[in-house]
Amino acid sequence: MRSVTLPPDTPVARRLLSAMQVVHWRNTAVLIVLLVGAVLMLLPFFWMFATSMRPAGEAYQLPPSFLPDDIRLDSYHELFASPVPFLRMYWNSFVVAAVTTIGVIITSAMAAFAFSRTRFPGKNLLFASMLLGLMVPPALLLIPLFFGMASVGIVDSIWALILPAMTNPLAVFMMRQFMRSQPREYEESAFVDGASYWTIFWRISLPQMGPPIAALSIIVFTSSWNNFLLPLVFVRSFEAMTLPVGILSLESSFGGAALSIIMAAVTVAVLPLFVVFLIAQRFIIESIASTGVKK
Amino acid sequence: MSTLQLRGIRKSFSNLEVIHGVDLDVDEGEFMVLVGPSGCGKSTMLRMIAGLETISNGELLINGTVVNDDPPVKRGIAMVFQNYALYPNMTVRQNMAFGLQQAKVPRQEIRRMVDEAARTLKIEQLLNRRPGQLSGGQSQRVAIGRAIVRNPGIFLFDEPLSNLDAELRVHMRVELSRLHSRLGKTMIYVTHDQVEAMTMADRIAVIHGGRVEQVGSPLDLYNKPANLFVAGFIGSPRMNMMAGPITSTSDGARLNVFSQAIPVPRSVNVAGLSEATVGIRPEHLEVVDTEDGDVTAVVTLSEQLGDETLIYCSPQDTEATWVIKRLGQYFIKAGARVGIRIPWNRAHVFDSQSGRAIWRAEKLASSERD
Repeated sequence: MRSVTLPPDTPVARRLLSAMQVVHWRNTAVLIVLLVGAVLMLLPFFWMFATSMRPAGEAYQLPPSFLPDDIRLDSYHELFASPVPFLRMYWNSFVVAAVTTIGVIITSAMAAFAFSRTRFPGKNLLFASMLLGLMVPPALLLIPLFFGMASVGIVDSIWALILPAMTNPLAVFMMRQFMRSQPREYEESAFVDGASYWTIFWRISLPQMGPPIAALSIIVFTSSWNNFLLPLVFVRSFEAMTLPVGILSLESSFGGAALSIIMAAVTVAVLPLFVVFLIAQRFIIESIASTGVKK
Repeated sequence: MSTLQLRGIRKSFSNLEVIHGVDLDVDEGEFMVLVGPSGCGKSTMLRMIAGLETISNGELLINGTVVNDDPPVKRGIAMVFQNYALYPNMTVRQNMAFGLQQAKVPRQEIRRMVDEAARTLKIEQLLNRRPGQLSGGQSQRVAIGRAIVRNPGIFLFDEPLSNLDAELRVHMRVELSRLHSRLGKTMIYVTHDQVEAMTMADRIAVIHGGRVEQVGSPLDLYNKPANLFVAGFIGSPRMNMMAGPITSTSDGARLNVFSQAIPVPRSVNVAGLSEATVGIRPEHLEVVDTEDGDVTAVVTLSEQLGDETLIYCSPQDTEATWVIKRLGQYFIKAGARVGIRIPWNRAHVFDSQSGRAIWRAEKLASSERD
């Protein structure tokens, strides 16, 4: 009977096995690095949530404990019963962030369509000058913006927070880059079919812009939700106040016992961001999965 | 049905002219193929006909009317793109209905027309699918369906088969030819594939460097190429070429190739020509014993295609590579020395400088007999 050499004993098989081990160990190393990164990212959220569940006294305890000794929801009760109108500010933040996000997406998509799909004199110059706007520090714009808002009488209203954020050069840039990477034939085909520019934009281009819309939704909603500077300068009353400045006012209301309550407020405040991210993330995957062009 | 005329059409991008005054007539119901290598301007010409590119100079006439400034929808055309360009956010039915909706056709009528076009192309079962759920062949049919549902006067095809695999491409080629016969519409088809051009066209326009090199039926182009470019481009494998000097003798002019002095017919004016190029199709060359051939050659490679054999060789120890096509399975080793018999009555001769055809060798053969 002929002797048969088992695969692991052959030089080729040995080399293959060691190559697989290298790949395996590399994967493990990457996994460990990612895990450490994830822990570092999640730790502040955990501390925020844990502190919101502690009684006020335990929040300042030294040395601090990792888990709350006594899980309590008192901070949440106090937050909603406080004289600071937390729910009103919550609603304001939501309205400002949602309207700003929708506005930015509509204006930037239309501008991106014009910049990437139409021809007009001075197009590149206009685009470049718009990008120059990115280089101007936001603080520099505050005073002229304030006078502008004051002259139309919308200081101390949520419109003072929404209108200045309605146009966003970075969003136009992102949308334009995405649109330029898409085949022109969609628009050309619709043009041959007799569609107007508006129909092409609304029925053909915009529905295909899922990925940048999803990414922009996250970016714009988050930055609007977290915006501190504009409400600090443009808004004085609680009627139009949003959460970032509003949460700060909790400290003056509750003094030294405020940490648990502030953390409860922050915990409730980050929830919409989670929701936006979860919805937009699913949409990104759906958008990439479907395409009408054979590549 | 519609006719199309191009009169001195030019196209420039900034200061770069890419189409240099093209004249072309397409008859009613004709299947005209624009063929040429990549970058020759054939797609630009199609896009100008479609109205997707402006015309820098010249006139474009559809049914005798100048339409240079008309938008695509007023030209009565429909276009099938290379990548199909099916709107991914719409179903097949919505894709096909889109053009009719823009034309404000009543909803019931749109439904009837889409159903009819779907029946014609046998894609009824695909109507509720989205483009992402279609195979390449199905997408191709839907793209054609979207074009025919509008009942245009002229169909424009921009390399519509180039994304398909070889088998499907042959199948769709036949389908398109059948569709043309059935609809009887004017069709203009752009391709770089000369096999597609030869098999589908009523007439072919060979484009090179933004100019029309020759217009004619497929066999006209194959048998009577007007210049070196057409001779080399039409036919696969390409025509074998060999340049040689023209000398004058007391007996008339002679073309000297492979140590042979071929008499030039007196009817052909070769005054001022110093060199000419002989071209012979691969299927016209014969492999013979070395002592029986007009030239000897060293075989460099042979390709077995089953029904035919392609033999690559270097004639007369030159650097040139000639291809000989033999029917059937013919075995010959690389490095073998063979003789090649050149049937001079099948040769084409071109002015080496201008590239234009000087004469076809039936004339030469008859002049020799004289």
